[in-house]
Amino acid sequence: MITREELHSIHQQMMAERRDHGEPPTPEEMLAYVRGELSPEAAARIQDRLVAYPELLQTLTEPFPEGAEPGDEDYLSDAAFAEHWKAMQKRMQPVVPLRRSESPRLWRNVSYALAASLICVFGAFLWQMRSNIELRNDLGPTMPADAQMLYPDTRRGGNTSVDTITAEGDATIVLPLVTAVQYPAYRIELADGAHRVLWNSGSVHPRVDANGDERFTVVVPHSFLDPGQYQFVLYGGETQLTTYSFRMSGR
Amino acid sequence: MTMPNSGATRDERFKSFYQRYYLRILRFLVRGFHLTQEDAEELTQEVFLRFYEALDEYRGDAEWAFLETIARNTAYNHIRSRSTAKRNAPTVDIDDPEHFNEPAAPPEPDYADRQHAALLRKRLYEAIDALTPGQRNVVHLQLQDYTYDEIAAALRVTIDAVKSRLRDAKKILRARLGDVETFPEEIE
Repeated sequence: MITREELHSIHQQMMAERRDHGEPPTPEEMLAYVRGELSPEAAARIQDRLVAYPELLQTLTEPFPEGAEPGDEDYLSDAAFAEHWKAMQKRMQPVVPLRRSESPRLWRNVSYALAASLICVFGAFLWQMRSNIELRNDLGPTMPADAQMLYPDTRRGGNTSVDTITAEGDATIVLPLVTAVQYPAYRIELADGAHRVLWNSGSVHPRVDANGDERFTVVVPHSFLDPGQYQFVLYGGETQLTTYSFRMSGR
Repeated sequence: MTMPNSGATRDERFKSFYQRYYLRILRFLVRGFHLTQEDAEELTQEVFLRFYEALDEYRGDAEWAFLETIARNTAYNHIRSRSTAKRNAPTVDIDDPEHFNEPAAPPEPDYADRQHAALLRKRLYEAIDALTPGQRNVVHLQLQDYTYDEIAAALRVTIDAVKSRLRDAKKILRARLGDVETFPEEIE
């Protein structure tokens, strides 16, 4: 007869092998899994990895509390909230401007200051977009130019010409999100004509406009790009979704 | 419970959630994941910061469920980072006498016994490996003493599906291996 101890021993051996063969799911994968956005096959692969990490599995199984009601011991007073709110506001940092670099390689260092206004829901970088005003540490508040929308390259049909960004100052560029599949997070790269990556947004999330369409808005400082041809590349997770080519005019 | 949205600004909705959930999420993190008070306070702030940032973009009705997703995801990120740090921690040489004081080895079992035990392990390994992924994961989770509720939450299936998979897995294992000592019962 197979004993319980033998069963446990094999179970532990199999779990150790799973841990040796792979890392636990990434936060983005977990988010997609929890939100039911994965195919059954992809979800099964996540489960296989997750089962080997019981301490991580617990983040799914631990019962989540109900909210306290006014009068309950756990209900935070208005005075206590005011203190907490003051501390939270200090953590909401303003946007820092992009700086042009001589070496494109510097842009691969994600700790370098970024100035584009993008919305990030989850992930390592949090960004906050303030309607029509971008705060910069060195030059103070500015009023950006009227936004210019770029269309995905796949939507041009037979038209091979690219849009030209004509803003005199900082360019506010709108990238519409046109995809049938929703992703837990997106990423945008800016590349030059030689396909060298000049800038990476990190993990971001689109904003919904008044028409219900999703889009990203990027503010490019006027000193950042020389005249020439460039391209935004939009990724959903690690999947390239579309490109938006444009030309910067001489300014 | 869904907070009424109509007319309330983002800050008002946020304040209401914060007052109702802050201490309970803090306790959720401390008790559920054995975090220190300091770490839990830091993470709770992070949860609400992300909640505030995303509140305007959320279009659903169940904002409390949105908060729960953020809280679980934040806990997951933190614990995963901690696990990765442990995996990358410096190792010590098992033969270094400074670190280990090994007791004398017990007498070795008979060679035939060892062969038999190895064969049994191999059969058991192959039998579990041959289960479907759904059956296999339910078996593994029950061997880790998860309840049916917890297994259902982890695998995102119903409790009935958990019971059904476990029943099928046990039937298959018994057919392949002969008798198996009583599986661990569900932990209440």
